[in-house]
Amino acid sequence: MKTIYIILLMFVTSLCTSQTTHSLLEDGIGLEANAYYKDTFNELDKFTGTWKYQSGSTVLEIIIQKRNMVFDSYFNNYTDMLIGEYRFVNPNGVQIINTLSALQIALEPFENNIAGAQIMDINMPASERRIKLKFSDPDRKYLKRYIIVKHHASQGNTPETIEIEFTGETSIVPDDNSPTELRVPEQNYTLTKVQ
Amino acid sequence: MDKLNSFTRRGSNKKLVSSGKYKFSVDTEKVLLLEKGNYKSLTFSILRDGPSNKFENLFLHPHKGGYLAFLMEADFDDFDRRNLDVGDPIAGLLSKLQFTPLNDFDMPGLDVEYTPTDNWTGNTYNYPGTVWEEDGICYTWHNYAAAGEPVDFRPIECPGCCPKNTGGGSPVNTSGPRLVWQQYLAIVDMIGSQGGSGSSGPGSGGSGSGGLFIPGDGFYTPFNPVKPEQVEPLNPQNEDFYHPNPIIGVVSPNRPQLQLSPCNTLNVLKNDPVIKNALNTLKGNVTQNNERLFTFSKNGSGETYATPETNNTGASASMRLTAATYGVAHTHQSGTNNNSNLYKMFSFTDLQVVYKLAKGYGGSGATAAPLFFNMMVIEGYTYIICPNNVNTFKNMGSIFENDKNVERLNFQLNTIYNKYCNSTEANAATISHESLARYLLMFLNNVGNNSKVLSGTNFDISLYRVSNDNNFSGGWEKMELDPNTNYQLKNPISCN
Repeated sequence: MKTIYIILLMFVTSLCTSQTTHSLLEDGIGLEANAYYKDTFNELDKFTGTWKYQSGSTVLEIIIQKRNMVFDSYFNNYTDMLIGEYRFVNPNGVQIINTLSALQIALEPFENNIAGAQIMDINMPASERRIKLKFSDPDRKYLKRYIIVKHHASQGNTPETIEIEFTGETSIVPDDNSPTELRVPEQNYTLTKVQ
Repeated sequence: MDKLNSFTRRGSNKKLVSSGKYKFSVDTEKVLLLEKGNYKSLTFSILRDGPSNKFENLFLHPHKGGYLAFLMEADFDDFDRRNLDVGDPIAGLLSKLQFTPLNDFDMPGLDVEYTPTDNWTGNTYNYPGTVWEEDGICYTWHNYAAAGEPVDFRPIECPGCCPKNTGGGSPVNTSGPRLVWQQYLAIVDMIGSQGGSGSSGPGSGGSGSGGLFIPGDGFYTPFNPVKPEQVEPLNPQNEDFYHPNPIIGVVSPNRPQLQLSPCNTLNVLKNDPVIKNALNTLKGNVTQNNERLFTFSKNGSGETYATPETNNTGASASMRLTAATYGVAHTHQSGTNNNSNLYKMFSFTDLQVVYKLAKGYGGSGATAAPLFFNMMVIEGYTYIICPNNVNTFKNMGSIFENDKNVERLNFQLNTIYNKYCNSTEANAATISHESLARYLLMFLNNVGNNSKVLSGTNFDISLYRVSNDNNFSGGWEKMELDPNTNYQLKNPISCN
């Protein structure tokens, strides 16, 4: 039995030694096989949590979580990344979309409606760096949208917040009547950490 | 006719005969003879003194025991010529053919009888959806029903070849004879291939039927090209059209094989008034917060039409691609709202658009697309990306059909732009587009000494640009990397 453990240990060790670790900050979620794109400097952690925007009846709630060593079978590598889901209530108090339950399901990387790990402004101080994440509407997946998220630490009585801004790229709609906007209005939001 | 047939024997000596009146010669060893029943026509490639890049045929149409002579001239641009060489359809083919009756034609060396030709006139007729026939010989064109537009047919009055109405619809003119369909085939075959294969005629959208024109059935597809060494024409596939003794003779156009360069194709695009107009519109929007775009599609006549984005309120543009869409031109949002600005260079999802164009193009009735492309208009320049090998590119579905893979590649290209091109600036819109172009090429073609800027896949993409100045009148420049200088960009290579 002891011999088996030793062989297993050697095997795992050899796997570890053949894997190259890259910094997410330096290299992003790279494409190199047998690599691990690690959040070496814990850039992602500050964005995690439950964040809420409320103005009158309008509510945008986002939950962001960090996943470590997510394996991608196509590129055959691992990465640390953020995933998230959200819900939106319109000014009339009607819940328009709620994807939060998807966090309870183990999805493939980028299958969550919020996902990514692209650290922006890498030459700026750590506190100034933003992160760019994919933002999907599950009923309008053809829309190529992203959010750029900036974190603001709590200072005195000022709560910890994130600012999000929408951006996007060219989308190919399935037909002439397809909506061309997300159901969440694509405006700037400041969300306060609630959990 | 026996004498004419003798011109076509292989191995006989080249024989040039000339027309003193019309100042051209033909090579009697290079003649296309089409037969159907008693109908026999001859088509020769015309030779003139000095270099000529024209497409000209002498066409002899049997009539009253003799022949009527026509000069056929084709107004083909470089892209049409490339299509001829590779066997692709030509947009608006019939409208590009000009026929001139050769009055009192005289070419003694051909030793044929010519029918006296008095009062030849050329007329243009549009036929409302009907087919005309005369004694099993005289087929003619009709309105192009699929496009809802008449074909500019340019038939020629031909005394004695009166058609009769054999189809539906109301005849427009029953008194005037028409240039028959077979003759078009002969002419087109003459100019369109290295040999008279006749293996496909007017097609039915890929059904492979070939041969006889089927009313309302779609586009005319030129013959498949024949290898230069293939001196004997193939039997036509459709016996409905050709007689069991089909074509005899060998046709070899008197011109060098034209290989249309990518630059020439790009010039065809740039000089298309529809595309140029769209580029000028985009040029006026390059500093806006909103992304703008046009898609370019082919209508049933092979003409390009442009469609703007389907939305015009959000920051990001949306579009719908159809089976007729072959290109896109767009801007990236680049205004005062710096945070949402996109780089002044293609994203990976822009390349995915090209894949979807190439993959989705070619529904029923689609004409040949010049190439599949995505253009980006920025301040000063318009860039274009296009795959070097469309067939290989179309097989990259494992990447382009997988949203996760596209997202990863898109994020990574953005990361590379951000890290290697963005030394001090936080605004994507201010970064040098040449620097972005360099990393785009390394990433997409998977070349370079830094493994961190590679995609792991060679997408085999070319990148060109043209100045926006003077109504895009300058030439395209190819952007290439120099492996001898650590894959720096070479000086742009002129395409002209």
